Amino acid sequence: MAYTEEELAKDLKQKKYEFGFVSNFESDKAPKGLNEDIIRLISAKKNEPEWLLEYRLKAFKVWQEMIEPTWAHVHYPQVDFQDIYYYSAPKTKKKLNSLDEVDPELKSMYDRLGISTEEQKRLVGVAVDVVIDSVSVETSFKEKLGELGIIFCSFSEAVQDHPELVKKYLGTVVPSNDNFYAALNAAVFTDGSFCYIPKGVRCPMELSTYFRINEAQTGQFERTLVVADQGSYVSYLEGCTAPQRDENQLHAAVVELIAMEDAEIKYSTVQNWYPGNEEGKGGIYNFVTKRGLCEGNNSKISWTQVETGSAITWKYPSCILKGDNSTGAFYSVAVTNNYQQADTGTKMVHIGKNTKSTIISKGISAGKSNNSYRGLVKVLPKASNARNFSQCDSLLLGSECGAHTFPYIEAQNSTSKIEHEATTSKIGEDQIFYCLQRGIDEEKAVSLIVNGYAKEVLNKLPMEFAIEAQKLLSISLEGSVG
Amino acid sequence: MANKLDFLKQFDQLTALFPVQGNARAVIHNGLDFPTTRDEYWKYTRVTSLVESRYVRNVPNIDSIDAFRVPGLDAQYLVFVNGEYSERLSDTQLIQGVEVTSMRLAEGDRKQHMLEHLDRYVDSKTQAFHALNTSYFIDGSFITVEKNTVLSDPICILNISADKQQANNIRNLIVVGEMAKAEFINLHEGYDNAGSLTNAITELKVEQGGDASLYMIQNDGAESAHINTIQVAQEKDSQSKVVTITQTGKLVRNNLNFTVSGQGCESNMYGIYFTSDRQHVDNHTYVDHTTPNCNSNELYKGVMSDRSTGVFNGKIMVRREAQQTNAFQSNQNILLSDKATIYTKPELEIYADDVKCSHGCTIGQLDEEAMFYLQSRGLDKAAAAKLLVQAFAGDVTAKITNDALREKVEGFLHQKFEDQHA
Repeated sequence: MAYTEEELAKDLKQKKYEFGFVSNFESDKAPKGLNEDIIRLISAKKNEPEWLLEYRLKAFKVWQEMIEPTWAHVHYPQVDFQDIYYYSAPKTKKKLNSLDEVDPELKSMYDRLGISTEEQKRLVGVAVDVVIDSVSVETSFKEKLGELGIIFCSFSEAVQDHPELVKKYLGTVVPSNDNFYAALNAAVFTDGSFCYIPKGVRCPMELSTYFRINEAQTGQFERTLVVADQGSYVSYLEGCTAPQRDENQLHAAVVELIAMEDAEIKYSTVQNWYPGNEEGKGGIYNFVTKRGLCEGNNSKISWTQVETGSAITWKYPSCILKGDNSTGAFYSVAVTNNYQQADTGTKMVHIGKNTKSTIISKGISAGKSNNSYRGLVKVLPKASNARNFSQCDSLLLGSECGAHTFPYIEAQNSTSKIEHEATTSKIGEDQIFYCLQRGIDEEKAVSLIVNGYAKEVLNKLPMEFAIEAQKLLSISLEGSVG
Repeated sequence: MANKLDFLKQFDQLTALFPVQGNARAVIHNGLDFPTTRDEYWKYTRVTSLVESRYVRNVPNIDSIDAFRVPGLDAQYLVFVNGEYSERLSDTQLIQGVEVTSMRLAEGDRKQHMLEHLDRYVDSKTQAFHALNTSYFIDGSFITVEKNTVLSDPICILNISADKQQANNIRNLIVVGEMAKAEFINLHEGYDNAGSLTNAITELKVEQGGDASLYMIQNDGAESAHINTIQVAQEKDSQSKVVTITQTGKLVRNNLNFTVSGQGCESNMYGIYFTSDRQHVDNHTYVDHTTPNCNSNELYKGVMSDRSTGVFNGKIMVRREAQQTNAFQSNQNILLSDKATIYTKPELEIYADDVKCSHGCTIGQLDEEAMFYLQSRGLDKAAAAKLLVQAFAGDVTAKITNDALREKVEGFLHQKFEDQHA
């Protein structure tokens, strides 16, 4: 049975403060800028083996020769890569004494998202109740998972404890020279998550970064590696619905998934980082490389994402369908409001026989935002009977936003079947009228219609996530109608 | 790039007839380079060999155009051989309200009228092949249909590409006046022209309330290349239809662009590409909706066999002001061989909210059940497949409203299938 939020809250309540606050590492910060020394420093601080340092340096060399991609349908001032701190030990958050000290705007958002008080405290780092230290909860999880042989830990821990696994899989799906941001990440990543599910094990709970929020903040260059061995199953959640006020403007994460024969990985993301203010000032640049490899026959990888935050999103979770009969899926809801810009989609590369992929993308644009779907479906000559279905719908709220579709479809096999359809529409006046005459006010009506529109994707999220995501959609679009 | 200048040198002795040609030469000799596969819009089509070749120029004597005529078509023919107007072969008739002239021979007011429109619609500043055409075309057709004139028979521009290693820059300028209605056929034929390049531009201006149809039939020959650009500029309440049928050509690239600058316009574009051997056929279309209340419809169908490649890229742009736009786009493909490839990219770029836009795209095979049904009725496999392919293409051929031309196209589809299964 999945571990629910209620249970978490209960566990949290029962736990007493054990370990104290993480000490203040404020001073432990490398100078701004990026060069080999900084990379050596990161590697040394993390006590990494030689091969990993070499991996980083190699990536750095490649990165130096690369140029920033400009093909995406987004516009932003150039990022100065020498003006960034690449290593700073996690800052401890400002301690608050009670929830009353929390920004009321943030607080009301939490309330409307239905996040429990305990959870809220954890998110903002309230100090009362002896900080909810998820480390302890995590320990109990680890025991449970450990019994099954599942490895789920931070990337740094994995490098220390399971170097053979990390070495074997790191960079096999997203090579360090894959693209500009992947190379940057490979050179400077500071932490992330590592997960290994052994043969034939069905992971009994939804694994989530949720549970290790206080453990070394993963920072802006996160690295995730999930390996599902033969016949295993795992559902992995990333991010959370609560708004994240992060100070780092640039985020370049890399996620690699590997599914062996008969294995299944379900990866869900809810991203709600700071999107900038109403004038489009500030906000996170989210340049992520996510890719899954269906290595074995009959393997399955699905990406589900709800993207509501970030000023700029540049993200294409992909599936390489290498094994015969493997399946890839991509379900996405991307919401942009105010001046947000999103260029997101997926790549499905069919290599094995009888491979199947499904793409459902729902874009919602409001305010002055731009929302693009960009996707690739590629069927290689040996992928007999490959099958793809893509649906990309866009919903426009207001006359100043934009919705764009750039699907690339390449087929080299005559037994493949590919379908792609896309529509663009707005909320019909008749739909709103119907709701109004039933006594539902306009704002609620829009939220109702938008949720109905996105239902197909929200349904794919794990239950408790789905409910929060629904509320999140309504909140993200607030004030965009009327 | 030294290569480019070398390449251009072989054309530089051609006299520039009009001021725009001088401008274009300046553009192409300076910064503008030919596209490579690193350019997004030329990603799948490699033209390097075309712009590194050495071409020769000669105009062979042709006795008669009978072999190229569309059987049963009542039309006047305007004939160009390797880009040069042939008065002897042309049979232009005097029709009230219609003027058909060679660009080179236009004089006085007529020339003035032509210069008002020439190179105004097509982008010769950023597109190298356009600049190449504008720089070096040696002649072209200039056709005007006066206000309120309704033409009963089409006007056919026949471009013959003859002899090997020719580089022909073909230019057409058509202006359809207010409330006028006319059909045009641009027939590209070739013989014995291995290694030749046809680089054609058609500018079609449709004035207020006008209605123009243009059929582009590409049959240059199996060993030649064809880069074709059609630029349609539509005014208020006008209609246009462009049908592109690619029959032969080793490498064919079509750019079809619509600029709609008035309310109440309708733009239709249809195409068939049925490729075999090592053919490479690339269709790019672009509709730019800048004004409210306009419609556009697009349907392209392709059948790829052998080792051939099909490329389709359709882009619909709906600008902020273009509310109440209806834009529909569909691209359907059948792959008949494992060595054949299709790259398709139907794009939408939408900045207005009160619009209905959709696109669809499919790639598949002949329906097994339909094949079985036909075979169970006694048709052999090849005949059944042929019937299905013809039915598949039927949605597009039905858009050819001229009976004689439609029969020719259907005949070609029939023949192509026969040849393949021979």
